[in-house]
Amino acid sequence: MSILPCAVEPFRCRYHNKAPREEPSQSPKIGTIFSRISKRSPESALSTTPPFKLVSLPTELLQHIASYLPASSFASLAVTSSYFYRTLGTLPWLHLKDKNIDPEFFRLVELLQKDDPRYFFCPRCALLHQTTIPPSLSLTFPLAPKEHQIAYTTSHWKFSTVPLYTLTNAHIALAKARDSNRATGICIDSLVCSGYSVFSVYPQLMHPRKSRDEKFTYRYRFAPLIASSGEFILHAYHAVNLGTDVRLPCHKISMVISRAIADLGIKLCKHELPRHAKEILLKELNHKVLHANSRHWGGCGKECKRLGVKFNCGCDVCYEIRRVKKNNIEICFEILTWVVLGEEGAGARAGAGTERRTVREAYEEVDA
Amino acid sequence: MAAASTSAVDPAKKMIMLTTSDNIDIKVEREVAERSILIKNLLEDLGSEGDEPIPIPNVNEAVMKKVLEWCEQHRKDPPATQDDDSDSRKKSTDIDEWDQKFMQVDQEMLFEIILAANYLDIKALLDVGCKTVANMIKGKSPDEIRKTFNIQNDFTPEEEDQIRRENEWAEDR
Repeated sequence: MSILPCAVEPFRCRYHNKAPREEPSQSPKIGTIFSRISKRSPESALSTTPPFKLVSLPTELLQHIASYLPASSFASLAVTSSYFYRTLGTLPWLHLKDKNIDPEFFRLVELLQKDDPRYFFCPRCALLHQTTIPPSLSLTFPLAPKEHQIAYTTSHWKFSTVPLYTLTNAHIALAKARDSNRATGICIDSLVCSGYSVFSVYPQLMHPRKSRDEKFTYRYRFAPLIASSGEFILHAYHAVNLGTDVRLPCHKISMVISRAIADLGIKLCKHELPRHAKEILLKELNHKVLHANSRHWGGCGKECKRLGVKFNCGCDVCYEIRRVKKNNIEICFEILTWVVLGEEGAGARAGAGTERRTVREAYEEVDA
Repeated sequence: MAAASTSAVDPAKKMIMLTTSDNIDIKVEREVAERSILIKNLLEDLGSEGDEPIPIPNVNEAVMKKVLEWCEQHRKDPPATQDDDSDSRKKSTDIDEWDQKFMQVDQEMLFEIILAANYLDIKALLDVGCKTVANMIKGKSPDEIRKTFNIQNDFTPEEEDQIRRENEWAEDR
């Protein structure tokens, strides 16, 4: 069972898949030349095996070669096979981890992570974490039911549905377990996901002058934390650049925004947006995005004044909608949410005064 | 000591004969061949005659020609100092442009050049060869190195995990 909330191949998020997949850029010319088949053995032309291999070099020459390598590449070579492991020894990289801030260590774990999808590098712990729940943990830790707590799913007319981020009760229970006992559970950073995707704009909603291949971009980051009260708080950040011209008629922009919110699956709490909540969100978006532009001021002013209606699903949630002024033409906005998931922590979220602190304040206290 | 025949020519320009492992005779100027400490010592041991072919039983013609091509280019290089094994020499993997071009050969030839340089005791060429291999390894993950050099991974996944944990690269469970 995978731990990662984004673990739906091949859509793993950038955070858990950040090592470059392509070949390193180091001397590509030499690389291609070496891959050529040896001229002197035409019979080997069909096999890719060069008749004379690196392993055939005597030990002292292998060590001589390795002496030119930085510690990360030395270790990388040493772990290719048991022969190299024995021949090269472990001395140059034995204490790489001790020097925690050594850039060579980060380089090494990035190289190791590249090969093995079972691991990802966690900068917070400066360690490789497993992306699957190890058997020992699922045996010793009573896993909470694998129910979905929150699931973000995007869909688009051009693509099929893509599950973006899914947290289960097990995730939350495991992260909370680590918070109280370092020897068990999973690191909260295993549950951080971020990514970036590009969608085609909606042709039927677009301005006729715009070309069809225009794109809109979506960036997201999901970053849960355990608050000091013991609550599991998920912070979600969505940044949308619709690229649409704000000079479009007001109602058209509203339609584009509404369509984007629905397709990107943006929600404020763990529940699908109920109709009235969606209306509130869209109204606020329209207000922030459209009316910040004075040309539209007063366009749909009446409705916007009804902001501030409470959600009635009972979720403890904070949200913020921001308009991003990139230029005066593109429509960019950000939606930030903070929501408590799992069972509530014993209500210990008392503020300095008598006021109960908001989810956002509790999150930002730990995040800072 | 000096015979009439040798005094006529500059001893450095005198041609000597090398016999490779595949029984091919190669004529080469003495100065060029003496980039190899092995050949240099052999010539000194044999006296100044140098008329007899010198057998090089560990190097074949193709590799020998390649090595001599390098020696020709580097014939005027100052000889390596004795205690050149210091760290400063080892750290840098920079290779000069001519040598880089020279080393653009297939893997088999590259390794044979390294072996020949080692056998013939041509330190500078050995270093260039080893640096070339090091540059091919640098920045590659273990799997990419295996693919580049056709190395068989004989670790079991359990052993690989073990290595990660022993070295504290991965979380210990």
